[in-house]
Parts: sequence; structure tokens; C-alpha cells
Amino acid sequence: MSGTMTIKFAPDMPAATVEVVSPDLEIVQRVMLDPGRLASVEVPSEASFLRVHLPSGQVVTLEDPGNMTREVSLQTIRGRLQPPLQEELPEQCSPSDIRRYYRGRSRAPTLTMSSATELLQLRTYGSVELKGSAGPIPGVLSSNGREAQWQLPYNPQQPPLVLKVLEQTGARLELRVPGNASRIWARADACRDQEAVNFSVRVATLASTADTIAGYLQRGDLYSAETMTPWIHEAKGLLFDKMEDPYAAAVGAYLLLRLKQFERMHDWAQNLANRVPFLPDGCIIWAWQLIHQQPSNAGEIRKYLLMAASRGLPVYSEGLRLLTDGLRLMGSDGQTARDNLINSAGIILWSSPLTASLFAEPGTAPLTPASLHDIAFASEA
Amino acid sequence: MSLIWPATEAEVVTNASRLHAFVIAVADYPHLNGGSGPPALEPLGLTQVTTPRFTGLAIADWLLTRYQNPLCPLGSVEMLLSPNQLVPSPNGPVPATSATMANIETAFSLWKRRCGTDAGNIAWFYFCGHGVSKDAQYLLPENYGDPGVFQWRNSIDFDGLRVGMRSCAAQTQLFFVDACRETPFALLTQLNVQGNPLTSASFADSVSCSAAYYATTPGRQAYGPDNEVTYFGRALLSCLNGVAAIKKGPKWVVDTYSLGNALGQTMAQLARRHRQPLSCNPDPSGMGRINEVQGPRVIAAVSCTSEIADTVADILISQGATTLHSPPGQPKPIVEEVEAGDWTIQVSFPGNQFASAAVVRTFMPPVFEGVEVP
Repeated sequence: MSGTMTIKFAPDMPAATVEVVSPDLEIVQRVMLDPGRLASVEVPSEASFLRVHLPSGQVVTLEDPGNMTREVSLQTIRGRLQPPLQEELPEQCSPSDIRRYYRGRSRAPTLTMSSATELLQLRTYGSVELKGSAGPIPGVLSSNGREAQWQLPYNPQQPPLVLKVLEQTGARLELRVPGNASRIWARADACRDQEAVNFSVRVATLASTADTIAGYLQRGDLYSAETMTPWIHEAKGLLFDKMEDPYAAAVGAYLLLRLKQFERMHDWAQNLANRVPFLPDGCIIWAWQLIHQQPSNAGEIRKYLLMAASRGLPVYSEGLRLLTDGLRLMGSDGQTARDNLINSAGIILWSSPLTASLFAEPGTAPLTPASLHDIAFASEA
Repeated sequence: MSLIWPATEAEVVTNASRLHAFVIAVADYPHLNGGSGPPALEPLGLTQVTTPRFTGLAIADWLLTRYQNPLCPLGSVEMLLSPNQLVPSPNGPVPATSATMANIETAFSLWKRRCGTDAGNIAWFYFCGHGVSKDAQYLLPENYGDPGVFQWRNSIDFDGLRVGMRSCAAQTQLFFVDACRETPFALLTQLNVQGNPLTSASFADSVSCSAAYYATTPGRQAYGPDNEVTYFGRALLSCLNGVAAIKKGPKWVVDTYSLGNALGQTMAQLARRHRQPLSCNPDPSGMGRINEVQGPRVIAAVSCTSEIADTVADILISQGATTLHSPPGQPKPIVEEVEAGDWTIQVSFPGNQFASAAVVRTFMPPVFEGVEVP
């Protein structure tokens, strides 16, 4: 029997995309939900069910035939998920174990930052430090010396931070971290099934919905990402008018750019480019909006692409991809800027949502054991 | 000859929307370690690979026999294969040309010209072989490392190729990079890494859908068992055959968005089964319809919630007469491609270590994962 299904997210849920699915497996509708939000969907059958695309990439199916009023909570979905690892990770573990561990770790209580230090030694695997515009930011070690953590005050108006991991092999990982980050975790773990060390980083910001969107984009889950566009429009006053959080604004603009919803971008990207000089991403987004909407405006496109390149590496990998592509389209006069950018970028880890590069000094020994890198936004489900 | 189908260039349909494919598979690198030619001055630690010859043939076979898109039927298959060998086609076996840089340049031009004949065309590019990643993804043809020429002369700048394809009229462009995105240490200190993008574009060029799917993240090997199709190739074919399908009206369709999500999830399950750091980096931009399938399929990945329980669990998954069985001691999770729909999962413990359970669950594309006992 058809009817209206009402779905609500409990306060403990992160923002996520929910698919409402009919018994013949057709997706009736996709809706964005966040804590406390309700959605009503006309369904063809009371046997319709839900699929929740969680920020971590896990998808959970919730079947409850006949129940047309659904409240989704972390408590109810936990039973359907591989449980997060709450205990300490074994000395050797798999990349999937580490991901499960992070899901538990993200719910960990607020840190006590006593005895914080600037350069943190991750066992014998390497060392790590976080740098802001005013210098190194102290963090603390945990997980028997395998994990470094930082807790940061809310300051989305600050320039990007840089996380540097000096690996025992001599290679150096540099990661751009958005200035709106609230928690950062960096780990080094010996892999169980390979002779390799897994270096992993998780970043949480106070704009958790933006983190969710960035995760969807990273995994290529554009149907779920597309469903999140209402958040951009609801938050436009804070994000694009007051520029309260330019990093979250950039994520929203990247999403609209990816979905080619240029008319919904208005002149937001131009504001982001002109009013937030420490963020190359705004210039890149505005240049690409022009490439799509006004390709004949080559002078303006060039100006913003070169301005972006002069501001340094973008925070988001999406931006770096678009910047290098844009400089290619410029032809010979973009080549110099691209060469400079490439030389400053090292080997780029394109799987990371945040711009991440590997460097090594000439004459350094080969990478043995090999390193794996796993960089993502933190999510608790 | 690099045109596998149709038999001649004159038979290629150019006045209607068609999918034009270009498949490059390189399993013979004479200048890399273990090769038969003069060794490269900088082999980057790379050795011979066997998987591309099987993967390239599997992709060509899928295009020729399984691809189904009434709005854009198959138009042509261009293929380069090293070592060169016969490729089965509807016109009988066709000898494929080897995948040297010169042959790639020639075949690429022919392919791009065909793709450019109609805006409704789908351009399909598949590369299987060695690749290295620095600022961009570089793909290595058969004669990479020829010591007689500059190290990077025989290499493809894939990122440049993808951007350059904006100058092609085909408005749906699909790129599959089934290559190791290795970052050899020697590459860390090289400043003049460059490749041939084969084409270029300007701001005035545009494409409505450009989707690239990469086999692995940088720094990881595109693992595949010797003499078999690569893991990425297997995952892709599963997805195209229904694991990435979503229902649109009466039809089950694979599109650029659904493929991105499904490929990543499928690779994650293959990683669990084969205990390898497999992953996929999907980069779809724009919506494009790829394939229609008869019905949806699912990667079922079933295990208990703890490794201790997995070791002693007897798992039986059934739908009608179809059953999958994993007795105690066999590796978990069970990872198999199955039909979508309702399945019964029975988990029992012959040693009574945990309570047994039986549940019915709806398996829906792309992946069904886990069972909540114990």
C-alpha cells in the first residue's frame, strides 16, 4: 500500500544522504538529513526501506516493513555495521582495521592538551608536526606512541595549516589542512599483510556537513553528494555573505562546480577569491566557473588562475586538479606557472581529499619498507 | 592493425551516436627489468607484468559482446596489445598491433577523429599496463625506457590527454586507468618528468561529461594475480554488468555517477577478500549513461562482526536453489557477485561458541556488507 513515509535523524546522527527504496529496488527519492531534520517521502509500498550513505563510506540498509515513521539514530544503525574498534589496535594491523579504529576514535572525548609538544615522534616510523602561520602547534601522543593528536580552537578565518610527517625512509609527507579544522589525528602503523608502514591522517572540522560532502566527492559518490546541495543554500548567509567559514564555502562551491550547477553559484566564488586572499581555492573555483559560463573571457580566467598559482598550493585536491588542468588550457603562458606549481608540489597523492605531497632529498635511500598513505576527513559512522 | 571492429575504417558509422573505444594493454616492456631489449637507464624498479594481456582482451570482449546502449551502440574498437597477438572479434581473429608510442600516437589520432564525428558519441579510453604518478599520471607504452631516447619521450601524460580531449566533440568521455600509480623513489628526485598528452585544448573547448576511474591510489600497486584479469578490470566488468546498475524507469542503467560509487565499494570488498591495499579513485564529472543491463547484481560480502567468530562460523547464504557456503576455517568474508533480491543468511557455530542466527536481507547494488552476528 502506498503512503507517506516520514524519516527523522536523531540528534546523534551525522548529516548524510538517505535513499528511500521501493521493494522492487527502485530509488524513490534521495534526501539529505541532519540531526533533528525531518523528510516526508511518498512511497509506493509500506515495504519500502532506507539506505543511509554514511560519511565514512559505509552504507547501511534499514528494513522495517509497515513502519511509515522512521527515526534513524546511530544507536539503531550500529548493529548493522562492522563495529568500530574501540580497543587499542594490534601492533600489526590492516588498513581496514585502521579505518574502523578511526570511526571509534572520532567519538573520543575532548583531549587534555597538557604536556603538548611541537615535534611528535611516532615510534621509529617517523615524526610529525603541525604548523600554522604563527609557527608549530603543540599536540599530544597517544595510542602507545603511534598516534599524534591536535585539538584546535575554532578559527576558520586563519590561513591553512601544514601537517608534516617525516618518514623514517627520509620521505616527507606534507598535507594542507583547512584552517577550520577542530581535531587532527596522525598515525603510523605497521601493516599486517604487507611489508609497509601505513601513515594515516584524519581531519575533523566544525563544519561536519562540509566534511561529509568532501568525503562523498573523494569516493566519487556523486548521487549522495548531489543530495547535499540544500545545505549549501541554507548556509549561504554564513558561508558566502558573511564568509564565516571560507573553507566550508569552498567545499560547497566545489560541489556545485562538479555538478555543473553554475547558475546556483551566483558570484559567490568571486567573493571567495577576492575576500579571502590566503585561500587559492576561491580563485580556482571562480576561474572554472568562468571557463564554463564565459569561456571567451580569457583575460579574467587567466588572471584568476595565475592569482591562484601565486597564492600557493590549494587546500583541497579537487582545487589542485582544477588548477593544473586550467593552466594546461592556458597554453604556453600557463606552462611556467604550472612548472612552478609542480616543482613545489612533489609527488601528489591524488586519493587524498586535501592536497598532500611526498618529497625526498636527492641521495636519500629508497623507500623500504614501503609507505601507504590514507588521508580522509574524520567521521564517526 | 589496430582496428579490431568493424573490419574496415569505411564501415565505421560516423553519422550517428556511437561508442568508440580505444584499448591499450601493455604486458611486454623490453627495456624494463626482465625484458628482452637493451635495459632502460632508469627502469624505476619496474618489472614485467602479465595481467594486461588478459585484461585488455576481457575489456574488448565485453565491448563486443555485452555492451548495450540503444542510444549509443558500439561504433568501433581500436586496440593495441603488447605482446601483439590475435584478438577475437565478430569478423574472426584480428592481429593486434603492439602498443609502442608511435603506434599509440597513430591509433589515438584515428580514435579521436572517430569520436569527434558526433556530439552524442561516447569516447572510451582504457589503459592497462605500467603507470607512474608524480604531478600527473604517466602511462608507459611498450618502448618506455628505450635507452636510445630521452627517458620520458615514450610516455603518455594522461592528465594532459584527458584535458586535451575537451577539444573532441564527443560529449561523454570515459577514461579507465588500470595502471600501477606507483611513485618509485627515483621519481621523487626527478624534476623533468614529462609525457606526451597526445592532444590539447583551450578555454573555448568543453565537454559535458568527463569521467576518469583510476585503478589504485598513488603509491600502491595495481595488484592482479599473474595471468589473470586485474582486480580493477574484474571490478569494472562486474559493475558494468549490473553491480553499478540503478533503476531508471523500467530499465537498469549504469551511469557515470553510479559507476564511481560502485567501483570504489567493489574494490574495497576485493581488498578485504584478497588482503591487499586495493582502492579506486573515481573522478566523474558530469552525468553520462554508459550501459543497460537485464537486472541488478550485487557484491555480497558476508562475515561476522568479529574475527574470532569468523574463524569458527559456518555461513550459508541462499536464494532459491543458489547457495554460497563458507564452513569453519575458511576465509571470511564470503565475497561473491550474486543477483540482487532477498537472500537468507544463516550463521551457525558447530562448536556452540556463539548463538546461531538466520536472517533475510535484501541485497541491493552495489554491495551488501556484513551480518550482525555475533
